Amino acid sequence: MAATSADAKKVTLTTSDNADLTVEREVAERSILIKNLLEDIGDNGDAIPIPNVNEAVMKKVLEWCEQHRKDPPASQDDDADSRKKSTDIDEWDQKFMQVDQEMLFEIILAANYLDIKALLDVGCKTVANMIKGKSPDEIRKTFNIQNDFTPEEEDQIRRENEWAEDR
Amino acid sequence: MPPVFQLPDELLLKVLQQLPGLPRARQRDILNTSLTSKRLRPIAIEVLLVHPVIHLSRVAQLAHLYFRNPNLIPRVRTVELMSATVKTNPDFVTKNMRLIDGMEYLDREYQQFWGHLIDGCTTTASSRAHWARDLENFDCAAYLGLLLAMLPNMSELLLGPNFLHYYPILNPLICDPESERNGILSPTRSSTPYLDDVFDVLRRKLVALEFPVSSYVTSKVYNPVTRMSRVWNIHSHLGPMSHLRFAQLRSLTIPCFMLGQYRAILPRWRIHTMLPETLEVLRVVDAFHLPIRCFLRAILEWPKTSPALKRVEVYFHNHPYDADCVKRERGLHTHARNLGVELYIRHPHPPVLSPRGIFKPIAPIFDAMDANGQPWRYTEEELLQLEEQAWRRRYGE
Repeated sequence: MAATSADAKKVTLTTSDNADLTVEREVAERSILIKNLLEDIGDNGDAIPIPNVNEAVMKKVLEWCEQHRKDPPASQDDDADSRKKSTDIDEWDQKFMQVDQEMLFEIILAANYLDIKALLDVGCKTVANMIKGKSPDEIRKTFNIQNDFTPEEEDQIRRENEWAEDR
Repeated sequence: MPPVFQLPDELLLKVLQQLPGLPRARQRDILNTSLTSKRLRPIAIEVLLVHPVIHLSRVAQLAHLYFRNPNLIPRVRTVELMSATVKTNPDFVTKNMRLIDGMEYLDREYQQFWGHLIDGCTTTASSRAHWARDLENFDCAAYLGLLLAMLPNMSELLLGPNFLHYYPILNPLICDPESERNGILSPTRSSTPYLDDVFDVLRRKLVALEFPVSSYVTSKVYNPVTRMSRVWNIHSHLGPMSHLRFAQLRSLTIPCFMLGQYRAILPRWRIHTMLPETLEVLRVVDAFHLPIRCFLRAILEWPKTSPALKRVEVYFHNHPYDADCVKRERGLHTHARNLGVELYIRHPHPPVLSPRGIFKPIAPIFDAMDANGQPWRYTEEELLQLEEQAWRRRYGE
């Protein structure tokens, strides 16, 4: 370990609504985007602008990064055998994701922008779990989606979907 | 605009790809999503087409959808088919599922498309003519051949919930070309050279293969005394699964008696030749002890032949009900440890007590088809539930 002072390990992030958030570098570096930025510009103590994420969402994202700061980096192994396990969300993450939908989708967008793969996965799985086992109507209700199909179109789609129906 | 639509298409796609559960339940969720709105429909269709899970009789419709959405073709990695369903009586194999569903006529454009495609396949002119004729006659096997030939990047073929009977494309692996009589459940047609040629291309790129496992043990050809079913006559002159046939297969799922049959026809010192050198995970379903033990011993004696093997999963169809079995199982673990292979064994739940003592079932308590041919996909709790259902079906309340 290099003998850096505690201060040097901190970075400041400026959110889209001009709030400055100071966090430990290790926490911020859960974001590949920030990690690469820090490597490129060097750590000269300047605040890093994050123009796509507002303060409320950034705080939430950093909360997640703090909790998962010691996680090993995601493996690239997309093995068929990992499929079963990959659907689980750990308890802390489940609680973390209990937010209103507005916030949930903001977090997903932020995770995508900031390139935090594990958080993006947890977000997408949370949404997927909200779809699981529901009828089209229930899905619409859950997400407040307007049915923009005419009854005729809906019939047509049901016919088109037939190839994939269970027999 | 509902908040969910803040997500761009690529993230909505990712959400649908993360849907949990077994393939059929996922498929249902995706279909339901496709009915919700115009925005979600194309995304749902994309997910369905990139990892299709379909009934064999609908391969022609699927091939047609790829023809209409050629941009998705390079992205297809996995194809999952079924011909047996949970609803199907496992003892029932229809004599002929030759015809496909839902295509009453062929449009000219589609015909031209596959004409072009089969022209590009390495096969003889007479085979091509044969293939085209079969396609015009809505022959199921011919369309499966077409589907597999049109997906250049497909590397996982999952056929667990299927009757082998319907898969002449697997003939090169299991039927002896020199034998007139193949097994009762073997694919019906032995001479479809164009399918052999499709398979020849396929075998070089397959990374995961799941064999049809349907009802070998519950079907009438199963002999509970010898615990063998004369279902196939396997090639005797080659190690059929060896590297000669697969270039990069890493995961293989087979019914146990395939190992048993090899044991019967291959000299012990050649049993190892049945597996590709590249194999990392071997799953054996509908298992019983003897073939597993022989197999592990064989690779122990010839360790260089499966250098990549890391894990063996064994799904037994009965519980070991006597001390002897327990001892033998301990032996399996010792073999595996010596090999440096991780061994996972699963039994159906413990033996049932009958009034006269421990019940010794003659037929299997739980075979792979009770778990849709894919017990490895289920959690322990789900398997316990399925066992209970199977038990009730077989032995009454």
